[in-house]
Amino acid sequence: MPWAYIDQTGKIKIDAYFKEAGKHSEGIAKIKMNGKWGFIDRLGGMLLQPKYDDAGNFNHGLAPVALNGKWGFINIEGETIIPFDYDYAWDFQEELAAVSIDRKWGFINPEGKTVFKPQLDFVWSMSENKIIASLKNVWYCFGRNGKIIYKPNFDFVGSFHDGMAKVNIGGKRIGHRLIQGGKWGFIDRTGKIIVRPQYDFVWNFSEKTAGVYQKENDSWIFIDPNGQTVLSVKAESLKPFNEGLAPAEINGKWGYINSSGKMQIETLFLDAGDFSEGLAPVRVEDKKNDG
Amino acid sequence: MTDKMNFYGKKKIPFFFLIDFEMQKPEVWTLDEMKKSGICFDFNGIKNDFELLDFPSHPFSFQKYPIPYDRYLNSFQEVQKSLAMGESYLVNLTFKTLIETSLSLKEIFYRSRAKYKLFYPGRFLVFSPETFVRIEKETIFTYPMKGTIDASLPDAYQIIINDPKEKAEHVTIVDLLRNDLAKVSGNVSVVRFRYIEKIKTHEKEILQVSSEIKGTLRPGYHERIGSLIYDLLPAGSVSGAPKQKTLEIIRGTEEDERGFYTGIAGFFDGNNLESAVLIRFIEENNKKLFFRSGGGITLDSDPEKEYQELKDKVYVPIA
Repeated sequence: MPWAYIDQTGKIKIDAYFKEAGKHSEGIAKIKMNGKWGFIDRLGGMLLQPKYDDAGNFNHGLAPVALNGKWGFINIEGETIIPFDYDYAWDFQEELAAVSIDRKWGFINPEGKTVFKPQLDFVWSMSENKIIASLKNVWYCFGRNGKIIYKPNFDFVGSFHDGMAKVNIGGKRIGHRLIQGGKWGFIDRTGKIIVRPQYDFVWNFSEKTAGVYQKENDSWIFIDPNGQTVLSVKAESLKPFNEGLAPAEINGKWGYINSSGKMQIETLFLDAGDFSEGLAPVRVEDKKNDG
Repeated sequence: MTDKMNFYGKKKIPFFFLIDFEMQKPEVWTLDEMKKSGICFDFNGIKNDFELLDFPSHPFSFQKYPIPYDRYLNSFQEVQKSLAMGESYLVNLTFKTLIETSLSLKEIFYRSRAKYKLFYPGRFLVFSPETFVRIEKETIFTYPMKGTIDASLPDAYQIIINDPKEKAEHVTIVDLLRNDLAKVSGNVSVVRFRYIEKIKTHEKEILQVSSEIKGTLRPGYHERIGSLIYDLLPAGSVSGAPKQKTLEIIRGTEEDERGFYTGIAGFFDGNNLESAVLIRFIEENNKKLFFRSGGGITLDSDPEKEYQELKDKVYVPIA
């Protein structure tokens, strides 16, 4: 099932011929064709032919890409700017990119200089001037200068968005990135619990709301940064609001709701991604190429 | 080359010809000569005696890698400058799109549906809907095409037929071709103006707008059939208007020589002539395939729409 891109009216802007499709950032989106990743512009023009084994998004004019098991950073001409020295690398965010060597994570700047030596077990990208990381199953919140601000005492901690980070209590960690079970809530920048852990699933905050799910009554709601319900939605699944629209799954098909909860783009898609720079990737039915 | 064509015409010997857009590398064959070349053509059912092969209708893959929009926009803006200075009022601007498909060019020749199909082994494949000229007895016909729209859009027919910009472009082309026909024939008239045909592709159905123009040739025209064809070149629909200045703009703006793309191919059977404009063109180059496509640019053209059209034309007509 291929991915296409739609605009805010739901009109297809880039035809469906991608195996995978990322969001647009700095006018560029990563796409997968024939098992390799490349990059397209906002009208579907091919900026870099698919040849990478994996890829992230462009930020500060640089995107992380993987070739032969190693990650480096390229510019929009496809030139290597930061050599393929890393086992993993994430997008630049707030002028730092998380990179991993020998299972330890640190940060580099856009010149490729190591800013934080890879010594942490796991990190999120720099967000709102803070780094959330874990070492030996203890979570830390660092400032940009690398100083510990505090140690959030939870089983899992997300990065900050709209001044809020999701936290989990009671879940069982599977590896560094995943956690199973437990209940989710949110803390603010000071580490104070604002939303008591009570949800079975939460998204990060985006556009001052977070989609949260309660299994007990099978309900999705959006809450504000005070934990107040702002919107309750009848949907099987939801994703965060971006550019005023949130993907929602109803009867097995995805569309987009607006901030008042009204369906703005019909549920026509097999999957739907976030809007970014006026475009969103959507998965559509395969075209039949047989005679 | 003109002489050779005139000679075959005079002797009423059937021949097939190919003339590139730049008119630098024309080729002419009699049917016997053609056998060795491996060239296959099927023009509206008129064919040379190529081997009839049965390609089963297996599903196929077809992927396109359109050029970046910025690159298109640069050329588009160059063209717009010339249009603004009044050097031209319609320029056909074309680009190459890299494609990858599980189909071979030969297979596309056998499996595709199109008015004019031509396969030149190792060089290119064409499945063109566009007639260059047709000559029956002493009447010469041409069918300029300008304007396409996705047939699945609501009111597609109304939209395309009522679009003033589409109409203006079409009028320009009809006018240009009427002038062209008047160079070689008399009593030139527009028989049908802006009629619509449906074209099926592997992706969607599109509506195509055409007109029909005819003129009367002088008796014995076939003795100078080569000169007659050359007088009409290059085809107006794939160059623009006025022709000479527009050709300079195309040469100065486009990234590649066109070669046989937007050139013409034709078959003279000893009496009548059928010929096509070589558009919907896939070129083979260093084992890579490039689909060539483009569109007419006027001062009113919207670059994003034109770019979309360029990409939409990259398809194979295998339903």
